[in-house]
Amino acid sequence: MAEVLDRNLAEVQEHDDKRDVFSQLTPVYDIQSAANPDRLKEPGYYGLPILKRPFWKWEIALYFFFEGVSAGSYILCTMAGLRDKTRFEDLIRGGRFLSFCTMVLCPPLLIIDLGRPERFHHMLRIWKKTSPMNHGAWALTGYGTVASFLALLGLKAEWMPGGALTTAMRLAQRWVPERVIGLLGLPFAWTMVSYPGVLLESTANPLWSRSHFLGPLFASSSMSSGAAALTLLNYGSKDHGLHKALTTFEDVATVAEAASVALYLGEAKKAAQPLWKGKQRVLFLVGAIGLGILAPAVLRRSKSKVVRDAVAPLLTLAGSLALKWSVTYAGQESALDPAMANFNGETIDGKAYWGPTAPATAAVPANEGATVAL
Amino acid sequence: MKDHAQKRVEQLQAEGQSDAYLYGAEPAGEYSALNSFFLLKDKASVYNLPEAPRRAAAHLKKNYLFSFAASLALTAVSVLLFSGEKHG
Repeated sequence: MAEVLDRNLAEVQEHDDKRDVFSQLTPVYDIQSAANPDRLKEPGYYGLPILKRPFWKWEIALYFFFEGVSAGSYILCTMAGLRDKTRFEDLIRGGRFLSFCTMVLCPPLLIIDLGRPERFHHMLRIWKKTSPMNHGAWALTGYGTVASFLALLGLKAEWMPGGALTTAMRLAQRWVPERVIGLLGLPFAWTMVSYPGVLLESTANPLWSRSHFLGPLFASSSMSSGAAALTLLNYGSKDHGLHKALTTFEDVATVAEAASVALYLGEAKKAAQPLWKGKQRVLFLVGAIGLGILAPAVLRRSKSKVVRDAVAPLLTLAGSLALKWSVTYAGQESALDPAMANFNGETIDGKAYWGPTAPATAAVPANEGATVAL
Repeated sequence: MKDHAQKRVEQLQAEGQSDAYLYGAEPAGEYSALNSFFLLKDKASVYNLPEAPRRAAAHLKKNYLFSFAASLALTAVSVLLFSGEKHG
């Protein structure tokens, strides 16, 4: 696979058509010069990849990370507020600011990723029930509004400059039902946590779409990164029960994440190859799994507070970024692999066949027939 | 159109070309019948057509279900944990 990929990168010329905004973002293959008869027997169309490379790059990888931290910590703070508003006051205030600060980065990241950034609002003119990207745009809008409002409410009245502002703040904090608003934002936050994996699964990309478990993987990674950020923020807190709760939560989230990775790799099988053979393999295997999942699980058992409550959550955060970064970028290699993109024999549910013979013979790789006829 | 094509297939099969069939005229797998269909004489892949095409949105509900199950379960865990005792 590696040779085919390298050759595709080296030989297949990518157009840069200035008139077409999309060709500058995602490659358009120069089929006339690359499709030579010698490559007739190769998989794909004359050895050319049949999928376009996704143009999701660092903006989207960072977006997945920041929105995960933001919505994850938002959910945890809301739950803490439901249990005991006074005990967790500091946790909640810090968490609200954290959610806001990480959320604020998300819309710009998404907007600069667009081909026509000035048209971002078009996403909010429609509701499309089959498009996770549209669900995400709406979830971010709703979540962003609530998170900003709650962060504003979290400002202490005495931090306000003027007398009138201080009074207004006091009144708002007394009369605005913070917990109700927190609950209102919860469905949006859950969507924010849950949809990124589903978004990737709804593409044609073999790496992303051949498993049902990318969603749970991203969701549990987001929740654990939110908890890790909260652990770091409350490093100085005297409440040992809180530290214990966050550490135990990390353990549970880690189990969920490890199970999702295993199920994902098990279901995607060969399609997940770019993650352990491609350019992202070190980042994925060492960064996301080794340092991001396994190492913190061990370090959380340490007797030293610094290791337990500072090093472990830092590694969890870095691991979450590594996971989202490597999966996003590995999608590009996955699309360049013609054999994988063309292999339609096996679907997730094992059904689907058009043709004259019994479905049992459907599992012939699509490229095998091409060598016979052409 | 479909009837016409079906008749042609039957005619070809009567002439001894038993491998003729219609591609895309009937619902298959994740797709319903296509708006354009083809009369083929070999495996679909020979004509550069997918044999078992996947439809991204076909798994949307299941994917969302799995994903939301994970986030809701973790949320429930957090509620349980936050009700623990306060020490120190």
